[in-house]
Order: sequence, then structure tokens, then C-alpha cells
Amino acid sequence: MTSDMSFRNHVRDWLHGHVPAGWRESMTAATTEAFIAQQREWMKTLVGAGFATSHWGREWPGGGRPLAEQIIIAEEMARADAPRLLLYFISLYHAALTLMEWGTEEQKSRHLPAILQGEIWCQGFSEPNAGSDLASLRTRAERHGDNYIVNGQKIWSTLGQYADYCLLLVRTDSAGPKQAGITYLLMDTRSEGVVRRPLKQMTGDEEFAEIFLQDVKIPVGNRLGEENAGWRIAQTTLTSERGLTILELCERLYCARWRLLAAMGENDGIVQDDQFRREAVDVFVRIDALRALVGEMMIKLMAGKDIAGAASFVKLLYARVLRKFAALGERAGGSAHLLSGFTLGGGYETGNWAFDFMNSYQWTIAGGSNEVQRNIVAERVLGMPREKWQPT
Amino acid sequence: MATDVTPIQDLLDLGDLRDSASRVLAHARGRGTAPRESWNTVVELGWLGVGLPQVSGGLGQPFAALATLYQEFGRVLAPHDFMAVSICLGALAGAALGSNAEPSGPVGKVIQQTLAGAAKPMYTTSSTRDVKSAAGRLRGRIRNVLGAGDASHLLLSFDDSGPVVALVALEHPGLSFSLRPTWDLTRRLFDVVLEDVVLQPENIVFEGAAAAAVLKSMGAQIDLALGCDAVGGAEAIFGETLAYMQTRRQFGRPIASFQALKHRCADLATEMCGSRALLMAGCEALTCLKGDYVSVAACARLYTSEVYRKVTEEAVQLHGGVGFTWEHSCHRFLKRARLNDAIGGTPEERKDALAPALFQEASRGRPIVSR
Ligand SMILES: Cc1cc2nc3c(=O)[nH]c(=O)nc-3n(C[C@H](O)[C@H](O)[C@H](O)COP(=O)(O)OP(=O)(O)OC[C@H]3O[C@@H](n4cnc5c(N)ncnc54)[C@H](O)[C@@H]3O)c2cc1C
Repeated sequence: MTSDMSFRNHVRDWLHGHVPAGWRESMTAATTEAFIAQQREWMKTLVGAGFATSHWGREWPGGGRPLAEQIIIAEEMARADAPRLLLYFISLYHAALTLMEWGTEEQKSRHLPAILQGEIWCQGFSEPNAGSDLASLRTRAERHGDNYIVNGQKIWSTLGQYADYCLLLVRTDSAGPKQAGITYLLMDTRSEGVVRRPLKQMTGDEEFAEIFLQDVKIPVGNRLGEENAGWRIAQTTLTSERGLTILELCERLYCARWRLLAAMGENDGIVQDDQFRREAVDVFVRIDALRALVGEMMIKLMAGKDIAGAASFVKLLYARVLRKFAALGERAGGSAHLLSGFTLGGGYETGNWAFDFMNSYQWTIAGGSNEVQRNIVAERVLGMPREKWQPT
Repeated sequence: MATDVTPIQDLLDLGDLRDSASRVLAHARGRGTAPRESWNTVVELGWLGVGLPQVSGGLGQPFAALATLYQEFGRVLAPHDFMAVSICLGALAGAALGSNAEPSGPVGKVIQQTLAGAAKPMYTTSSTRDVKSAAGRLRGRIRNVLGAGDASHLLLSFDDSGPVVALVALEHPGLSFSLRPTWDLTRRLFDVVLEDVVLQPENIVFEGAAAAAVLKSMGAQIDLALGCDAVGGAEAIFGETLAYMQTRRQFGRPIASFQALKHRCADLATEMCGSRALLMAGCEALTCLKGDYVSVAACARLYTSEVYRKVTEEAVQLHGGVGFTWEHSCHRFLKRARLNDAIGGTPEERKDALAPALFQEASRGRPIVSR
């Protein structure tokens, strides 16, 4: 994608020497404790080398790298099959980028260095009754002197049970339009009144949590931006990672194509079964198309331009091809239905096909479901009329 | 003749080229078959020389320029002639340069005549090619050749202890052709029959490795050209469909406001966006002869053709009754998209042909277990 071969070689050499040997094996059927320990170690290693924060500002260690170099890092991580930094994903992207744009000096100096030291963040946006319609959220915060007193419930918070801090959206005003009464708070998850309960996902993994909030005291100093201005700030959080994450995930999928071929018993380019062979071609063609589109999007981004609807297009295409990939592997890999341990932090194409298939729902549900993305494409890109629904 | 159009010599910008082509071709839009005089326009505007090297009288533009034109031809459902002629011309120019042939040699002459509008040599696409060479005579039948009967010469390929590419005039003794009427009204298919065709040395354009190389390149070019045709056509009918959905009202609201339909349109737009990006990657790979450009071109054709089929199928449905009529353009796009996918064989055959190279490359990512 870029001609900066010397930087690429530098990253490649470094990864060659630092990706923990055999991490997939040791993280397969591993305990949560082992996974957390591995993530902490990998975070330390990446931060030390400056490869965890390439998207941060230049005043930060490892920060200030041009997009072209951030892309190289993501591509090489995929190529080297390095572990993903799941536990710190929200910290390094959502929390950090939101703080950098909206935080006070005090908030930034309190949290950004702490993140580099391993402070873990989670995102407390969704509620049992506020999913796709996030702005309808009802967790209430009332101002009492220098504190907000918060009551309500958050749900589906990824790795929320391990977090030190939470990006929290609360309702401070119910009078006007729903978006106009939302405030953005930074919550210490160890505050009194916070109860977190891991939720078991369909894979058996306890990867997200619900968070109950009862009379939780959050200092006004932990408010991001003005009261009732939280909706705009939340948009920063929600768009913080799109391009680079998808780029890295596409590269990982591309590099993992051999797993599908292995499941089909491919030998020297030959897959005997006509149906599987042709479906594999279909899937590979779609992976190539997606990589081409992401590449185009990145080139536009570097030139300061935007492809209308690009974030929705790439998310939809990735979600769809990932599902096809996993489903095909599941059909072809004879023992896919036999229960076997999955790889923690191993990404979305681990070769444990039944697990991968289930896990692929993350991409069609979380972060704006497929249906919500289709609404966005139809209304904002194609100019089709907005939905008007009259409550009866 | 359109006189308000800038001759191509002044254009380098692809956006300008697209606008110019779109203006010139506008009169053909919706008519299905473009009128014959439009070929004169193609010649006069110098489009045939766009991709040719300058020493051959062309403009030496990268493939992206041709791709821009192919897309515009696809939009208006123009006949096949332009892509067949320009791909053939590119090969001929390569031969003329490679042999340092005099521009007045037989191949050079055909190039000059073509650029002047006096010849129409075409690359032959075919679903089955059964041509045998024995004792210096060619026999056989090439089925379903796009445009052959409208050509002046055909660029044929056959095996004679190694691949051979020959340029044969349509009136060459022993060569005959017959029209095979198709559902697709926008193009013409022919069967070409060779009965004891004796070739002269000047008919042979490439042999051996050079022939293999040019066949490979032309194969990638036709894949990309058909990919462009698909992308242009899909965008045109999709645009028409969206516009119709905004104006057509049922149940007191524009049908474009029904979410079931919005989501189907969003899905089409998403796949169009992805397949277009792959096509552009293929065009770039061909221009730079990057990596396995043949595979990328084949992938691009597969995906864009599939999306074209889907878009045209949905277009009929989304138009309702009017989409099912002869008068409306939906069926022209539908038929063209379906023929596109059948040119040169079935999609399944193309996937089978593509698989080994694609799979070998993909399995190189497999880690070598050394521990
Ligand atoms: C693995 C995972 C991790 C997550 N991590 C986090 C996290 O860390 N923090 C956080 O805050 N949230 C998180 N979420 C929550 C996620 O953002 C929501 O699940 C998502 O927004 C959908 O909301 P919902 O689950 O309430 O579904 P609903 O909104 O109830 O949707 C149910 C169905 O209705 C459809 N639907 C809804 N509205 C429309 C509409 N307007 N048009 C058409 N169809 C519609 C949806 O597409 C879906 O198919 C996570 C979710 C998952 C699955």
C-alpha cells in the first residue's frame, strides 16, 4: 500500500522477534486468568515498542505516526499473526481518542498516561431497552453539588468485568429531543453502587458484562464536555476505530484463507469437491474486493477525503464475508460440530469453525447492526426517504 | 455528428474523458442497439487509439482510460464492437512494435486502416473454440463470437504445436459466419466456421511464447472490459431504479420509503461498491503488470458480473409491472447482464479455471510448523 519498505521491514523484524511463540496453542481452551495475563504482557510489549499508540498524538510515546505507517503496523500485525489487543481495545481507541478530543487537561493527564500503564476501559452505552436506538437510553444522573448520582443499568459491555473505568452515557434531561438530554461521564468502576456481572455468550465465553448502577456517585469533574452535550461526544467514540480496525481484520481474514483450504483438503491448489471449490472462490473474491475497497478508503483518508457511506459499506461487506467464510469452513471441516476449545483473543477466523460462525454475529449485531447500516446507506448515501413511525 | 465534443488528444483527466464519453453516447441511451453511425464517432474522437502506444499512432494512456470508456459503453448498452476492436488493436500494435515491422507491413496497415475507420479487426470471445490445424489448413467452428459478423478481420487463436494467433480477413476463403439471434438485443453473436482455411505467413501475428503471452493479456483485458461493462450497466439501471422509486407512490407514500425496499437497495449499493473496488484494483494490476493480474482480472469479472445480474434482477422487481414490459429498459439490462456472464463459458468454469492459482497463493499464508 505504501512504498515505505524500510519502516515495514522494521515492524516485520520486530514482530518476528516479539510475537509470543505458540500463543495460539497456549490460548486455546485457556482460562480467563491466563488470557488476561497474556493481554497485559502483550500490551506492555507493544507500548514499550511504540506499536500500540501509533494513532495517538505526537506528544505521546509511539504517537504521531502518519496514517500510512499506522496502516503498515496493522498489516504487519495481521501478517505476523500477532495476538489482538482485545482487553485494551476500548482503552487505546475509544477512550483515548475521545479524551484527546473532548477531555480537559486534567482528565487527559489523569487517564492517558494511565492507559499506557495498562488502565482498562469499557464502554457503557447500551442498555436493556436502548440498543439500536441508543439515544433512548434511560440511566439517570442527577446533579447533587459536585457529584452526579447515577441509577440505571448498562449491558453488553465488552470485557466490562475487568475494566477500571467506564465510558458512561447517562440521561440528565428528559424534556427535549432524546439526543439533547444525554451527558458523558467517566466512571470509576470500583465506585460504591457499581455491580458488574459477566454474561455468558453463545460461545460459552464470558466476554461481555452487565453493569448495575445504584446511587453511584460520580464527581462532576469526571464529566466529558458540557452537561447534555454527550450525544455529540459519543459520536467521536463510535467512529474512533472504524478504518484501521476493519483494515486489520480484513488482512487477518486474508492471511487466514489457508484455514478454509485446509478444511477442504486442498492440495497444491486443488480442491476436489466442485461445490466447495467454487464457494471458496466466491469467498476469496469477496475478501479481495473488500481489501480493495478498504485500500481505496485509506488512500482517500490520507488525502483528507471520504467515500460516502464507506464505514457502513466496509462493515457490511466484512460481516457478510466473515459469516460466509465461517459457514463454509463449518460445512467443509468434517469435525466442526464436535465440541473443542476455542482460542481466546484469536480473532474471528480461528479455524474452530462452529465457534467462528457464532462469533461472527458480533459483526452483524454490535456497533450498529446490519439493518441499521442498511438504513444509513439507504438514507444517507442513496437519499431514500427516512422512516417515519407514528406511535399509536 | 456531435461537434461540441473535445477531441481526445486534449484529455488526460479520467473525469473529463468520462464526461465526454457520456455526452457523446447520451443519444444512444435507452435505445438498446446503438446506431451504426456511432462507430464513426468512436473513430473520429480517437477512442480507438486511447490505449495504443504513441508510435503506433495512439495516445499511450494507461488501461484506466480504456476502463473509463468501457464503463460508459456499458451504461448505454452499446454494442460489443469497441472492446473487441480495442483489445485486438492493442495486440496488433504489440506485434508491430515487437517485430520492428514497418508501419506499412500487413499488421501496421490494418492498424492504420482501423484508426482511420476503414477496418474493424476484432478479438474473438467464444464459449467454445474447436479449431484444428492440419497440413496448414484450419478447420473448425468457433461458437458464440460477439460481433464477428460486424468485423473486417478476426483475431483467431489455435494450436499448431504451440499457440498461434492469426489475423484473418472476414472474406478469407473458407471462412464463413452466421448470426445467432440472442435474447440480448444490444449485441450480436455469430458462429464462425473455418473450412480448409489456408493461412499465409502475413496472417500469423504471434507464435509460441509470444502468442501465449498475448493471449494471457487479452484474456485479462476482456475480463476487465466485461467487468467495466457490468459496473457501468449496473450503475445505470440502479440509478434509474432509485429515481423511479422516489416518484412512484403507493399506499400514499413513495415506494422508496418502504424499509424492505430500502434494505434491498442498500445491499445492492454495498455489493456494487465492493465489486467496483475490485475492478479498479484489477485495472491497476493490469496496467502495472502487478502480481497475478490474470487472477485479479478474473476475480473482478466474476464478482462484477454476479452483481450486475443481481442488480438487473432486482430492478425488474422494484419497477413492478412496468419493469416487465418491452418498452421499459429494465429487460435490456437484464438480458445483457445474463449474456455477459455466459461469454466465454459458464461462471462455474471460470471459477474452476481460477481456483488453482488463487488457492496456491492463499495457502502460502499457511504457517510452516518448525517448532
Ligand atoms: C458481542 C457484542 C459486544 C458488544 N459490546 C458493547 C460494548 O462494549 N458497549 C456497549 O455499549 N454495547 C455493546 N454491545 C451492544 C450493541 O451495540 C447492541 O447489541 C446493538 O446496538 C444492537 O442493540 P440490541 O442488542 O438492543 O438490539 P435491538 O436494537 O433490539 O435490535 C434487534 C433487531 O432489530 C433490528 N432493528 C433495530 N432497529 C431497527 C431499525 N430501525 N430498522 C431495522 N431493524 C432494526 C436490529 O438490526 C436487530 O436485528 C455489544 C453487542 C455485542 C453483540
